[in-house]
Amino acid sequence: MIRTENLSRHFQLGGQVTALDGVTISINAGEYVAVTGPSGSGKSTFMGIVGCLDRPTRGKCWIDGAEISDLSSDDLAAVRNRKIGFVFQNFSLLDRLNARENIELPLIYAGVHRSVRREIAETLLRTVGLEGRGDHLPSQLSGGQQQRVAVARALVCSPKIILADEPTGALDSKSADDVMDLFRRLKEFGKTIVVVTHDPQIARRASRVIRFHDGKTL
Amino acid sequence: MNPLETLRVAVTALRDHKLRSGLTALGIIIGTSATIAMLAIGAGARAQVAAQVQSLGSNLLIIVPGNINQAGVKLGAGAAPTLMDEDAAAIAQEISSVQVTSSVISGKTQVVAEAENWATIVYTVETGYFEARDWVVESGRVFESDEAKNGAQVALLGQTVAKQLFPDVDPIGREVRIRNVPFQVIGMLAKKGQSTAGQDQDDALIVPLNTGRRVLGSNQVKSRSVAAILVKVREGASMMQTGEDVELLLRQRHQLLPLQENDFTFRNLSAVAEAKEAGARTLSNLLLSVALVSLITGGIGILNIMLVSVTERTREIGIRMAIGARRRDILLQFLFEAVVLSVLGGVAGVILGLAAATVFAYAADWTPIVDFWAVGSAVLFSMLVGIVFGWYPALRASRLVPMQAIRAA
Repeated sequence: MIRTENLSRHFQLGGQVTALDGVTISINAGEYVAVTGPSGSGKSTFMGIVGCLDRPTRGKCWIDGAEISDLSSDDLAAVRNRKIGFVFQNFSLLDRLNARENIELPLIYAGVHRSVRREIAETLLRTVGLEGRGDHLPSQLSGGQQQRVAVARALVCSPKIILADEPTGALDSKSADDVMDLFRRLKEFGKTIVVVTHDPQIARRASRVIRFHDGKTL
Repeated sequence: MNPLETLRVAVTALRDHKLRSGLTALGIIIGTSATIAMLAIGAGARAQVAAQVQSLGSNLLIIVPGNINQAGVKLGAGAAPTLMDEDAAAIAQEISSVQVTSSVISGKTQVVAEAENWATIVYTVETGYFEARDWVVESGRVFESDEAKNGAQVALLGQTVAKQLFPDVDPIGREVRIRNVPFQVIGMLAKKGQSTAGQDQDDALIVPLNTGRRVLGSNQVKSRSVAAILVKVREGASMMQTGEDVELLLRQRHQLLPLQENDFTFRNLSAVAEAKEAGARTLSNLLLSVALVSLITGGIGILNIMLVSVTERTREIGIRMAIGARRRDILLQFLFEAVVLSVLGGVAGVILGLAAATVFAYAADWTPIVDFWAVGSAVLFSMLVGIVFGWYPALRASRLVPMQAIRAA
């Protein structure tokens, strides 16, 4: 489902910084993988490229069989929209949209009609246990609830891959457990899940752990 | 994302920042309202000048006798008794582009009614005069051509004269006396107002040519001479060409040799009006350009705020990109914000500008002229300003790298 070959990413920050240095990995469909490593080890950069949010300096990356390093920015946007669902540490919801509108957002870019969007969003609100909270703004929800809205948004276009960057980093342990339970259920639906995390507790739930150090996998 | 959805997103974003949106639109509102007000006032000013020109009689050539040079003393234009009734008749007959002509002699004389008297200008004219000057009779009638020929003692009054001599009664059928000769009032002329020179055109009394000549006295040397000939040129015919034809005809009739100067002069009254109109146009163009500059300043306000907005909303842009927004979607979202802002500002500015023009017109006793074209182009122009100045910030937003944008918390 996800395969990289000799993936490298350099940044120009007053001298060249190598964030990712020849990473070759392969993640199968339906796998639940944790990516760990200290700060600056390259795990977030890795996720950015696999998530089509950034381009590699060198190397190749296949998502669902398609090579992405040559794709146009519009094509990358389409891959993000259809094949990948993101969950970020800081929830990344739009403050001025309510929970349902946030969940609907990817469907707008997918060109789905309004009434259909609403129906799908309501279904997902039930799936993540936020039935009746659709009209709440993010500021009116707890951290755990916000992250569940973000998970619902990640699922709304039925992607094959869920990428989560420190999904529990801003949550108390009870909320973190709720969110991780959601991820476990997603695995049962056959989603490929990649979670970037510091937390060994979280990493332990995964079926495989990939460790990063200085831009390389160990 | 289809354009309607993009528009909805843009409008929502503007509504979420009401104060900022309002202040940004204010620049466009002021620019557009100034433009609309200036267009309306400028058009009103030109229409006023045009009305003055019209009141002289449109397409009118005025010929006056020329200078005479008596032993080196130049007596000035109009001094020589060189224009005759027959000249007027010949011009009307022989030049096809001439609609009508009238000889005119005028002089200021005291006029007496039953109880009042008033010094006014008495015009002694032919029947073509009224048509030449586009002067209609408000009540009563004009004189017939045989009345003019036979020297009937009839007169028409201008509004000012009528008011002075007959303040309370209908003057039609009453008698006025000019140099002790009685005249029957047969008509009242419609109001004409001031001339471009500021003269009250309604302070006039009009009598048939031959009658007037007898009463006012005529030139001793040539009794058929006239003070001026009015020539009305047909609609669509060239004023200049007709003028040249008239000049040629008069030179022939007056048997002037090739090197001899004209013994008559064209007086182009509309030149004064043209100068005035040119002045009005220059002023309104000046005001309009100031207004347009302020509209562009408003556009720079949009540019400024949109750049701030893009920076502030980098995280939002990152989120939208992460979940599938293409560059085009982001570009359009921000461009639509700028355009909606500027068009709303433009519409509000039109309303405000029309109100300002109306107030100004009321205060200055003018008619503001608003045409649909001006309103439409003002709104279109403000939209254009939105597109031009909204483009760069929108482009910047669309060029953000999603990975970096989403990290900008």
